[in-house]
Amino acid sequence: MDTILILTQALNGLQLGVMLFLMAAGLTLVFGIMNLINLAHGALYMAGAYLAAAAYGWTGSFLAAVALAVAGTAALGAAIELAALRGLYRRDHLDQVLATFGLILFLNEAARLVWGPAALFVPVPAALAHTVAILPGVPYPAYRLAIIAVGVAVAGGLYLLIARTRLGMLIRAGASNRTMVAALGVDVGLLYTAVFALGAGLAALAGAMAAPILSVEPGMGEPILILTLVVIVVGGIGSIRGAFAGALLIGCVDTIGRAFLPSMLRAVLAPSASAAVGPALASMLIYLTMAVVLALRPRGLFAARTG
Amino acid sequence: MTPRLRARGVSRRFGALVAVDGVELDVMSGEVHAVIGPNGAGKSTLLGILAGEVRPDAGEIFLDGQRVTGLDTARRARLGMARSFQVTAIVQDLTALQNAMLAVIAAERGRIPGLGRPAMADPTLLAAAREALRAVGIEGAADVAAGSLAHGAQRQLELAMALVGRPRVLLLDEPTAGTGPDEGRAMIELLRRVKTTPGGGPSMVLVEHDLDAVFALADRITVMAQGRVIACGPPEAVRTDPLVRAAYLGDAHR
Amino acid sequence: MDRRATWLLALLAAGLLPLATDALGQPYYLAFATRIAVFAIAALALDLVLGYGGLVSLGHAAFLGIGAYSVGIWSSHGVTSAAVHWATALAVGACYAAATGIVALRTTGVAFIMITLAFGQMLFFLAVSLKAYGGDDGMTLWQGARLGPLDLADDRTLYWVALAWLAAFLALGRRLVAARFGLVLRGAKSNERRMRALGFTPTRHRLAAYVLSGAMASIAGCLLAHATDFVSPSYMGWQRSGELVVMVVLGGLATLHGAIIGAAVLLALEEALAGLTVHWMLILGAVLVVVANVSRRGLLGLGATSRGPR
Repeated sequence: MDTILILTQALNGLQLGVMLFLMAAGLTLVFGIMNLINLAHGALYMAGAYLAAAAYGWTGSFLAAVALAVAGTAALGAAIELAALRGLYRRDHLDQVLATFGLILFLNEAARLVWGPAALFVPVPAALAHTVAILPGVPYPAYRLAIIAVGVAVAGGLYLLIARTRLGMLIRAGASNRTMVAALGVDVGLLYTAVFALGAGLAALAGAMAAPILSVEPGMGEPILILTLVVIVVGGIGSIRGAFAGALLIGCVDTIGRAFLPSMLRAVLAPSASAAVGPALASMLIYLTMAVVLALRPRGLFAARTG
Repeated sequence: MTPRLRARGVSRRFGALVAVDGVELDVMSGEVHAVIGPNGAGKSTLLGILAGEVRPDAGEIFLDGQRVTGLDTARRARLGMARSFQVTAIVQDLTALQNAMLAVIAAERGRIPGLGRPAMADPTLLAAAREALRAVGIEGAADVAAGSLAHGAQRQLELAMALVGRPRVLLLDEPTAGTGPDEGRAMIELLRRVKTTPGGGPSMVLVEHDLDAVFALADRITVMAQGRVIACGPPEAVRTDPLVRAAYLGDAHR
Repeated sequence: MDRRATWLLALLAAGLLPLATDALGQPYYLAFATRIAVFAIAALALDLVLGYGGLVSLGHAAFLGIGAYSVGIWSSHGVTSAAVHWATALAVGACYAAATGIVALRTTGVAFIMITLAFGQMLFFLAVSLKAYGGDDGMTLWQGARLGPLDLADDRTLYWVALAWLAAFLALGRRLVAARFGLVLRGAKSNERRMRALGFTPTRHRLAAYVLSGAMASIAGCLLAHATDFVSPSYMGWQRSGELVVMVVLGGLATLHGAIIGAAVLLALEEALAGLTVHWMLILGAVLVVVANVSRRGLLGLGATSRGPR
């Protein structure tokens, strides 16, 4: 196998991994602090992508578009939290599933209503529309490298936010002991809205950055939502560190599996059999990874807390 | 004589805190063995280790000489170790009778619970469950949802469930906690009757804060402080032990 | 109205329905009733684990897929015996439930939700990659299934067959939940710690319920394929799993017959809303958000709370 291909695919895996981390960080925070399972997190990713596409059209600046998408989706998230989810924190997970499933239907349909059923295509910003030689003679799209850089920077920023700031202190305290945060005299309602908006903003960042490399369409949030759920189950629900490790693992397993598993199978199976089995197995690989992790560590790689 | 229940050098730490530190405990057949000590002495952790809910870092647990250290709660329960919890653990949304029926089903052993005859129409099962409620004096509340019983009655129901199947060992975590004075006295009286069951009652490990209950029931008392056993003996000896008075009784009456 | 009268009335209505649709010249509604019966079976199967076991499975559409592909794959090889289709679906559905259940039941609560959703999606992608059986586009079944002398391509026959399966599963389910098994399942849902202290290993009961539920829902998948003469990965999309959960919740948890009502209500609601506007999902989504926020016991619960405590 050729090393250039491996390197390229590893970078692709890394790029998917940082995207998944942006998604998983918000989802796992919301669960860790509010005990809310938010299936509509993927719909927020979609909202980010649509807003970025629209804002790119108005402003012509991709940076401004991303900023507007993040701010707009954070505001949307805060509004959703206040209007639809606030009453559900102490309730059964089943009620939360029902409500957030309803939100998915609502938001997907709203996107279809506003922007129509057809996919939108967003051009890669001109400044990044070239390739960079990561090794002599090995080109790689600059835009994808930028995604990796942004993702890593956001991960670092999130780490600083949680480790160093007052909000982060409350987040850490809230994840391990909800009643204690209330006892500290903090406005818990405000904290919850802020955390939800932060998660929505991160999802929107992922969605906005994905807009130029994927098609922007209703329902685009759900495939990545499901990958994100796999990530946080693997990483340990409620753990940011787990989300990071899980995201990189799942991103790499998925990308590299799809790229190399079929050809590896060709080495051991007949061509017709490997042609049939290869893609099937490659698409199942992350779920099998999840099953193996859970068999060994039922609470994920970085179990955050009991209960 | 082999003790009914024996803990050998049991330790458990949570992070930097050593909750239980090299504890030795022997509970003889039919004995009521109280474990007392100030808050944070490690009593509940010890009970959890005995029941199989908490895994010890070191040490062994034996039931009638058989090593049970590696067995989980359910396996130990099937060997005859029953328990009550500090926060009453009953199935809130089933009736008192259905709760007792669950205990009877658990004691039936062997088969995966039958798919045959409807449980609520099974005379053997119903009779055994009613008998269990009668034994603790709450047969009148059979059809009340367990969650809406008075607190004292909930504790009695929990005890009734623990007693089904005549366990060898009963682990009691503060059976009078949260009850009113009358309910507390009724619980002590009930436990005294369990102790004097014809044909021999179960051995009991009684973790309790209420010293009246302890001195009314216990044959022997183990005193813990900071995870260690600081005294063990008959109630009178423990009551006068200067170490105990310093560490615990004095503390409690200050 | 007492219970027996309600059941008799429901049975009578189900029996007279084909005559009524014939008389009115509206065969569409017979097919619609079949569809309700099919989803009622799947929802009833889900209620067994969700309502009684407290296990929120968000991957139950996978079983619909297993049933549908059992029909589709056999049919594409010329095997049209429904008995073969059903036996395959029962076996594969049970095996898949056992394999994924063992992993998923190592966790509870929210992790269980996520894992069942993920496994459901795994099967979805597996179906997409089955190029020989239509892949993404699915495949049309050109030959109707037969059961002995019965031709399941006939709408009325299929209606009776679906109704028979529904009745059989309802009877089986009621028997199960009334037995010791059901009592243990409900006990474990409400207080697992107590159940362990009594000597139960609740995971075994949950797995048994999950496997049974999976087998039942797989039959619903077969019937869905018989009804549509078409099989595609979309049968096992995560949205379908969500709909099944919605049906169970709407009809009322842990009642079994509530699942049937929930299936009828959701499908009728979708049908009615779709006649109103192409953007009917906007309304349905909002309704679900409101229902989740307002009622704890579904539609039946809404009625019950307004009549005071039970």
